[in-house]
Amino acid sequence: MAIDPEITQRIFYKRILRTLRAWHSVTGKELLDDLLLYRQLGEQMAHDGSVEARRAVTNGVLLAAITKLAGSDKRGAKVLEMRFMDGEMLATVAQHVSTSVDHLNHVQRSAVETLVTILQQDEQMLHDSLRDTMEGRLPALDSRRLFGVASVMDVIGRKLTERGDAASPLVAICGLGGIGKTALANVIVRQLLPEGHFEEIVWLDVASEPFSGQPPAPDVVFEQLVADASRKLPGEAAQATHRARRDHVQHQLRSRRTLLVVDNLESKAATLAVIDGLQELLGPSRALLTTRHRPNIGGVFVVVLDELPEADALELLRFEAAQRNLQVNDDAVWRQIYGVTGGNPLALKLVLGMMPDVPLTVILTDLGDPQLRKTNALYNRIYRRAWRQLETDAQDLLLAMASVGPSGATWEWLQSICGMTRNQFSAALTDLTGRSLIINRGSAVAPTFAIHRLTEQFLRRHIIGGQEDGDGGDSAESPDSAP
Amino acid sequence: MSQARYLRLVEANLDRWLAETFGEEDKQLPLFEENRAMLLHVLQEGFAHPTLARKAAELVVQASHFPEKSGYAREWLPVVRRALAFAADDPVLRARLLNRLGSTLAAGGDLDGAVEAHEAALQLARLIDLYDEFADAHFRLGNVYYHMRDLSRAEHYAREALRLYIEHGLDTPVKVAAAYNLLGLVELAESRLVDAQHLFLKAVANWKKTAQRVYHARTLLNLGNAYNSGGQHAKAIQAYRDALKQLQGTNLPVERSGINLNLGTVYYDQEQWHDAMLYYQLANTPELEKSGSKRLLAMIWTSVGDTQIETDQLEIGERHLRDGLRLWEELGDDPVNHANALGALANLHVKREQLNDAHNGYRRALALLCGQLEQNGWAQELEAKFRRRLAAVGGSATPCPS
Repeated sequence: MAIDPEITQRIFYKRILRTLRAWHSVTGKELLDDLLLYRQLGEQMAHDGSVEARRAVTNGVLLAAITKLAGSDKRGAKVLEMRFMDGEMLATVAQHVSTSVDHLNHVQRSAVETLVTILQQDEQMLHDSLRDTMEGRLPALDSRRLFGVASVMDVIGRKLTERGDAASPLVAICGLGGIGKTALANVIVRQLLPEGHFEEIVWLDVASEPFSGQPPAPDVVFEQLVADASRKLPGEAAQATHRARRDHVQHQLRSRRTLLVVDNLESKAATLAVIDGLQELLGPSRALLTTRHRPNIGGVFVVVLDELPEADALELLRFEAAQRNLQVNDDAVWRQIYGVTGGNPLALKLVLGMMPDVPLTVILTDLGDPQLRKTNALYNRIYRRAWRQLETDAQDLLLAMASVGPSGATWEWLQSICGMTRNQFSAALTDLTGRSLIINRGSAVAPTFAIHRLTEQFLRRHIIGGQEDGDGGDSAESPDSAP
Repeated sequence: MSQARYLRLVEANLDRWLAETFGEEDKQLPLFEENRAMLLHVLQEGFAHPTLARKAAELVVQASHFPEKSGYAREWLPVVRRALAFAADDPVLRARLLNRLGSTLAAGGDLDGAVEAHEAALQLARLIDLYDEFADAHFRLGNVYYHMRDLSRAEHYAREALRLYIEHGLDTPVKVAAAYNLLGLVELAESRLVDAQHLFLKAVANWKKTAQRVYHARTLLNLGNAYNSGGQHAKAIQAYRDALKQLQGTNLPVERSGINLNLGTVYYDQEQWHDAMLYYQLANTPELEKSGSKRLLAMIWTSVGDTQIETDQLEIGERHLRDGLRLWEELGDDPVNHANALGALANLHVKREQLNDAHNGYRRALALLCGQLEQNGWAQELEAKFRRRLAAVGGSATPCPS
């Protein structure tokens, strides 16, 4: 049952009155330490966490509100100052402002009510501004809607926000490449933002590729994660050492409820090393991991993402088709596509991307071999078909994307290495984005364009490797291990 | 066809990275940190194609200082090793890469490996008369030996580096300043304070000719430490203040905290409690809290608590000291500072006439100092002080186990 706002208001009024009365208290009670305003001011003031310091921050929050109150109610602000800051008796204050004690009571009540409103408004503004800042740091959303994951989203959201014994500090989303792990994590984080469960949200993309055929050692992956986190969390490490960075990250995670998203963990060993390392650092903070490998260890709540069932896949196709202005009103068409691709969101979108240029019958015949479903060859077939449809500039841009790797690059960087004019580049980018061959891994404000690892693998094996005209796309090798 | 197009794109990428990583480093660090996955990928692609491998290796030489400085040294190691594989027939490139390998190993904590790589760079550079890498290999070796606490080797290599810089006209102010600073650190560690001061002053004179304000500030901090260790308080204060001036406008609040802590300690040593507290408070910034630097916080809280006890603010002083002690226990790697905090708490017990607690405190501090006395002048001072104080309150100390 929702609580009546009037009751909430009355409770807050009483609390603020008690806090004002405790202006000179050294008991450590009646503090405003659950407010964002307190947190913000506390970070600006040097304090040692002592009762005196916490009281000073609480009084600072109240004083800022009283100063604002003086703008609209000078007399009320003066009364609050004399009564609570100077500790004067009602009668003395009444005499000072030339009024009766009864009337002064009325002035004081009205001033505290306005003070409560000011504090609530300021708290809300700060909350909104923090939410906007945090949202700006998230990767852009590839799709405006996700399908077939509503219940999973609820479960993960609950797990990340629960407190006490039911809480799970670490949640892992596992699944094959292209299944939508990153998108799911992104939407969950965005849903949690307005609820104010976390004071800080940090997104770390830890995708790393083997160098000289050797994947990075698990402890090196964790060390890099710590360096990334130290850079993105408030404050700075005291020294340029792993220990100092670790201390910095641990302090931040333990002192501010933070949601750390660790995206794109590749190997099983790295996943386990990161889980092991984070368990020591998190404190009240939470971590959401996306990984291809299911970690079979305690202390981690695991969600395995599977292919979409038919109903959800059809809904996705209908929605994406509408986004792309594809006029298809017959569900039989979507069922046929689902029949050849299965419920992998990336594969479904790639097929949709081909539809304006290639007759559906050709696509379905091309992908119709039941053997393709069992291997990565389905993707290769889809990519090969898409590649042949591209203009030279778009092909060049896709090759440029492969040259910068899955982490992507900015518009300016890509344009400069492609050596294209702005218009040429823009047209190529629009074409590839429309075909779901390029995604934005950066934020909406500062986009970083990238390709999916499966796209990169196709280009490397079948285009850059020189087999573009052959039919070498049906390799049974899968880049993913089953979670 | 596509492969040729792709190679052109990889080369364009390498060229872009070479342009972006050339020159002033401070501005480039964020670019590296944000895009290091791309850099690794581009290098990998460069190494995969024989016509581009040399360019990729040159990029490794040019960009190696970024991962060394920003915590990605161990990730960078296979990159330098891969580059070395392409430099077998190119001794100049190989010598340069060996020096980068040494510094990357050192940044990742492998000091023995670093010595081996720098030695190899040194030998190769000598063989082919590559004077700049030869001199740099000496300087880098000196640095590594200093961190290994092998002071005589550190001094030898730093002096040789300096001589070579001058002899071969490589004596840019930055290189000379860095060499003098390293030599000063060696002298300071050997407690040859006048020599240390002299060398730091020479380093400062060279830093003044550069725009390297952070390194300049760090040498001034070292100079202040050398003065303070010699009891030249006024000069120490001036050096620390000059260091703070160099850091004005930089975003290094934790570095400033460290200097303010040292300033406080100069006043503490002169029993000017009020000024000591002032600087300790300046050191205790929100930025330092955010950094989670247990060591610096432990030092500050211990110093604050100690000063408060000296000025009879016993209750709050005890709280700060206990906070500091908790951190020293957590760190568990600095017995001398830990002993200092225990001794300060014992002083508090003396003031409160809790003599048993005082005896226990001094004894625990002395036990921690055992084993630290041979090479640490401050440990010796503390040991003598705590023995005196323990005796003064009727306690007796057990000797250190042999």
